[in-house]
Amino acid sequence: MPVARYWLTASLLIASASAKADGPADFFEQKIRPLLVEHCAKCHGDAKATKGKEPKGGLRTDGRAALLKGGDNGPSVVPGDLAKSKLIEAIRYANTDLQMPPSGKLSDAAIRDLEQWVKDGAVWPNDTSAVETKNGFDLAKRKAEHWCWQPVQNPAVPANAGSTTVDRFLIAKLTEKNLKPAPAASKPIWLRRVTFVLTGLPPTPKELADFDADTSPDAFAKAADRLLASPQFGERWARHWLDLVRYAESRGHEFEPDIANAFQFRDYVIRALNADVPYDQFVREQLAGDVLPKARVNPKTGVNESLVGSGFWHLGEEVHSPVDIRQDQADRFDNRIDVVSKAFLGLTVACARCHDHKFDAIGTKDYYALYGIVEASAYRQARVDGWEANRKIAAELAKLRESTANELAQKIGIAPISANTPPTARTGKSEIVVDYSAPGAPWLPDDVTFGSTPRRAGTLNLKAGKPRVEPYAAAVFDPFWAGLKTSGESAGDYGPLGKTNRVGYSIRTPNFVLTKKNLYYLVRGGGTAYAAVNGHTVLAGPLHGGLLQAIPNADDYRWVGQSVAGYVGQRLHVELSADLRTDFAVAMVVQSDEPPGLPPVVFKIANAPDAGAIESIAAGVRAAEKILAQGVKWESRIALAQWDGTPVDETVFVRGNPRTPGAVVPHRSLEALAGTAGLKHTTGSGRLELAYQWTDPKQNPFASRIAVNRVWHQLFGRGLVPTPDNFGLLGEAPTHPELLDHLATEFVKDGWSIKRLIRKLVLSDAYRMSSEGDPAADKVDPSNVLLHKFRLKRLEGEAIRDGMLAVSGRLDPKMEGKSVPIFLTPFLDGRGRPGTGPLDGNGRRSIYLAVRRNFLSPFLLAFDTPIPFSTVGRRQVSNVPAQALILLNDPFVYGQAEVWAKAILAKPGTTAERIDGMYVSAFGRLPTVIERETCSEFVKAQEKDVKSWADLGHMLFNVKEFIYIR
Amino acid sequence: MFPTRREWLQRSSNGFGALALAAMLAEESRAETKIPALHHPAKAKSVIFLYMDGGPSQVDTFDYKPKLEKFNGQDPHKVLEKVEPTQFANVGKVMASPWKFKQYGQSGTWVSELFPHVAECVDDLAFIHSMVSKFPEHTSANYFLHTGAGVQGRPSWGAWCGYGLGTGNKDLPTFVILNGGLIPPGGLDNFNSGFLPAAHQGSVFRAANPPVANVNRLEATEDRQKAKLNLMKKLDAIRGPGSDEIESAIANYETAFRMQAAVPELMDLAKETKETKASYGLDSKYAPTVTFGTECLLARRLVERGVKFIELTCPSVGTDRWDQHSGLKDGHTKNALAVDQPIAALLKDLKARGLLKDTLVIWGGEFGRTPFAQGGDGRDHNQFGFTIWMAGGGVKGGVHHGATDDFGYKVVKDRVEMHDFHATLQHLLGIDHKKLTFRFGGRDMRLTDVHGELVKAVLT
Repeated sequence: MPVARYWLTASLLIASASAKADGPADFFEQKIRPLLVEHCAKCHGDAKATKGKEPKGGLRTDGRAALLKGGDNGPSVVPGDLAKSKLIEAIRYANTDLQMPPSGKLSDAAIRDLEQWVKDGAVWPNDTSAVETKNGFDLAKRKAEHWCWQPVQNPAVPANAGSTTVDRFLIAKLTEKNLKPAPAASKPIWLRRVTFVLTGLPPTPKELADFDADTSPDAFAKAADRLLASPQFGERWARHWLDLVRYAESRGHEFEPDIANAFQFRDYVIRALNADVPYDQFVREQLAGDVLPKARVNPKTGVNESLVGSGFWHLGEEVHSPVDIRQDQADRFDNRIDVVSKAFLGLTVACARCHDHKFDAIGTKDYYALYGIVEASAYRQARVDGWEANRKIAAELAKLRESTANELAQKIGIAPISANTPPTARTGKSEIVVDYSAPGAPWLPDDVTFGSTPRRAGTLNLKAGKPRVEPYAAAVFDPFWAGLKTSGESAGDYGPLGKTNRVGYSIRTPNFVLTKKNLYYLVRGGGTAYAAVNGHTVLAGPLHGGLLQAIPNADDYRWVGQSVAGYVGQRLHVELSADLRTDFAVAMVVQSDEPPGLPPVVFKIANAPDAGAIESIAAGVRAAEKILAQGVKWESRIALAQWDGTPVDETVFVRGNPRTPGAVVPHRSLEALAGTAGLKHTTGSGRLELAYQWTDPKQNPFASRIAVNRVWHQLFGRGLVPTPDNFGLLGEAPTHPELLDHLATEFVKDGWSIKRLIRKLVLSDAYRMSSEGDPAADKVDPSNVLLHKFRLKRLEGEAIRDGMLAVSGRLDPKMEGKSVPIFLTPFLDGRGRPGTGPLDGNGRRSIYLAVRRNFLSPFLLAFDTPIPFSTVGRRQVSNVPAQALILLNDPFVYGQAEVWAKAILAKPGTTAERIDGMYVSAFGRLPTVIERETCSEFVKAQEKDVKSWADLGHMLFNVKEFIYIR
Repeated sequence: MFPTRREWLQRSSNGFGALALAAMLAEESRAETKIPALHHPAKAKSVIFLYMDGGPSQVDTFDYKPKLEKFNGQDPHKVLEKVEPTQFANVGKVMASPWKFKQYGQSGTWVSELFPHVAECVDDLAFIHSMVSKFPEHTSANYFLHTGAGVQGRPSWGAWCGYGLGTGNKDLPTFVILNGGLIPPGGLDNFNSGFLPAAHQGSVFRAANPPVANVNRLEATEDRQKAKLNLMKKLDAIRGPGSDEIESAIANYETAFRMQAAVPELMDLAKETKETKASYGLDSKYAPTVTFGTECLLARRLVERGVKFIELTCPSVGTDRWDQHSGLKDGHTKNALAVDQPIAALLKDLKARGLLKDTLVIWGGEFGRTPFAQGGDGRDHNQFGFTIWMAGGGVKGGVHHGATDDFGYKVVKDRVEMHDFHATLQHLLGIDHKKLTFRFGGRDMRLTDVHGELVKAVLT
């Protein structure tokens, strides 16, 4: 179309056309093009203008079509529509997220010109800009081309002289290079190696002697079995697991609020590993232990272990009083997605937060599909003891309530108040969040105290011995449970939430998006309501205090309102908690701008009650309750857990920005694993179904591969896939892919048993090899990738510290329980500084030392214990002078040397015998003649002096052999 | 032929810390330390970051806004285009600065009464008035400033610096934090090595004994410690040649031993002249000035010893860090009093000794403060526009880059993101911020994430 005619048409259509130049083309050339070239082209122009860089934000501004298509934020120009044109929004500088050009706001005149141009239809004569298709993200192609997505194979075991299948796979690779495995290490070396690796402690002199004396063919197997059965196994391997789940006991940030009862999760992991819970079950518990159809209940303690496992989700860093509560959610959830995908899939899904993954078959839609799943569930503290007992009683109690209602109905009956009362029309202009009279209303209590279903309207019951009729269908707290207690070691949440008594007495609403200014609760009795906007939980500081609303006690139903006007547009759920001293019930939750009217009561008691008959029913109820009460486990520990909600389908956040929503994505697993259809389920959030998908070896090749690789990494010092948290393109490829798949296949066949996998591996010839190999082999395989010899291993900080305690005799084998605060030096300072702990941590193993994000143990940090922020399946092994300074000058280390010296001098013995004993304790072997002489020389002058022996012990801690296993 | 270290250690019977050994190891470890090639010639060899923890107010220090006086006491919602949500959501009236401003130097730079000493140095300073942060909460903003990400666990800029540049002094850490008393919110993780090797972690020094954790020997005499170390060395040597890891673990003891001597020597100010000490405010009657003055003097000594990255934290002035949600006048007065004279002395001293040209000095906080009051007499956090300044190696003096609006509230010109600031910092040290990467969790991580443009206007 000729320009002039277009101009005419445009000005007819858009009567406001008033360009100052002669015509739109001139206006464009004179005013608009120079602006775009001067201010935009450097970042949004062609390759020449940007010096070969990708246009920023995916946006080109050097053509009309390009502007109409726009960038990651959507169309930049919508002709005629200023409000929808991102270009205009950006140059107006009103949105602090979107201000262009970055060098400074344009002049008012320039802004007016651009507005005019867009208003007039964004005329661009001779636009030749073709709309480029985006740099192709081809998920199917990436999946097909990378090994990690392929199904696990069951490769044939190579035929060679290897004594186990593991050895045969290894030898096959070695043979290709004309290499042979190193000869076996000595028995004491093997025992020290396997004892440290399985238990994190050195072998005792007695264990060494017993093993040496045992010449039976199964001596090695017996030793492995003994170590696998020892409780210290769980303590050791739990620490590996805690590295994967960024385990900590505080939230970090400014004031270091506690993650209340986090140690229960640590103890859960220890117990699970000691019990050899099948790995797939172990994973499901952490993903969805709160909703597994059959909870795994500890046979000894009655604890619902699976529920404790679900606390996994909530071990991350959190912020109090975030100014932008939605952005804060995005940051918190990013950590959860990062950890859940690295820990269980070995994939870096978090790289797809802002754009499709740069290398792997993971789209940004995958990220937001998982985001919806994360968003659907909430944080809570849960009662975990007496799980089955209390459920049994709750079922009995339900029967009692039912029979009492029937009895009362027989005696006094109920009658409709009016036959033609309209059933609803009771909530005005409000939107219902939950209405417990509606069939299928989501039933999401945090324990048994609200029963297993809503109470129906018209149900007869007794209150203080008097009959009454329930006016509305409602979630009714049963005062039978008012005596529940939490056990002494359990802590409450930080801030005001922790001051309200919520655990075990709460029910939550479904998830919903706030569209009105207020929430209204149709409630009886008293309690609290917590509007958990965006899953915010660290309620403290100046902002968001209004999310917690007290519900004062009242005998009858009324609407209690809560103003949440500042949160319109956000997603939330409400947690309603009973005040135990009251008769708490909630019939309905709505959101509304104005107070809704009370719904009419439709039933009343039909006949005047006969006091005598009622009292006899009441007496029966009291007697029955008394008997039931005896079966209740009243006291319970509490632990952090998931609180399942209703499904959430989140939108993509364009460029990772929650303020720029894109398309809605159904909640689901990764497309490359399970396609794009949403998860199928009828109840719950979908997290349970995800947990099943992720632990099904047919649907997920990562489940078994990642597990066996992690075990291999810990035993052999380097994974078959050397990057255990990243099986993607930027990870390293497996050195022995067939062995990896063989182990993965056998692992699944063997019931996902971690202990049996470990047993198999430590009893292989490979695990028995010497770490001193043939120098010629070192030339061929310098990094020992093919495992021609055993890999020397520096002990972890925990094992070094625990080893000192074990050797000195100070080790307290007490298991589980609250953490021991770490010893605070003057250098450990800052807000939220906790109280100091004892220098020697009361002799407890390092896994029981407090893990506070801002006050991590300097000893452990120096020896590479990771900062708990993400999944770390492979620790750094650094070698720094700070380590030498600690071992030389830290009072803890010297203190343990003194404890050791005293113990040695307390027993009779010659100097030589004492030195021999020290060597066996510290290094698992006797000293050589020259070592004995050297040590003897050192203590010679003051053989009776503790200090002299302490100095010797101190130096034995510093001899490198102490911190390495061969 | 010279024996290899391994051979030497095996047959060595020399004492621990013997000069020959020390010299030899120093030689070798220098050769071993992989000092990555610079991407381009460095303009600065060391960085001193004067960390004004809490967020000093730009409009009360270096970003003069006369319009605030005109609108003093008015409702900001009527005066400003848009008032953004704040940390305390307690927005008061537009509040003029309680301090007078004057112009200084040839550059005619406006400086408030809070910084009379620094004002004398303005012609050496490059001001960026258009800094923005993403976070209005202390901890996230602190992490963002120090690590380029608003969450815990990323390497601090000082750690990146050590990772990229190696060490300038084997006897001292590469990244030193001089703790004046206030560890910023977010704690020691502001100074951590994150996913980088632990060697790059910041070491906290304080002006007390011991100055650094575990640097004092436990033995009564040096001879006793040497005797013990000799025992250790013999026992290690008897085991014969181990792996390279074990050999370098042994070498660490030599370094540690030397650090035990190097740190006290560093901390000992006896050789500084009376005049020097006085210039830094060490004889001040105001104790926080003495503390910060000591930190500044130590910073110079660290620079002289080749330490790459030195960060100073503020002393406690009894009220709060630069975080005056209320009592702006009192709190800012005290915080400024603590740091003003020492900073000016540091700048002048570095210049006089010819060190300023190779040292980058940075002054700033994690964000600024609102031009309107919080409540009656405080200011809330403001991440939409604040001022930092730089001086020294590679930086132009007396320049002003970027601008906030007439109220000092939001940036309107030449916005500088944290990543841009980090890119510029690394550039001055000879590092291309896009090339200094470390693979973690499947990504090649950078201090600047995927962002960062050089702020060329402040570069020489």
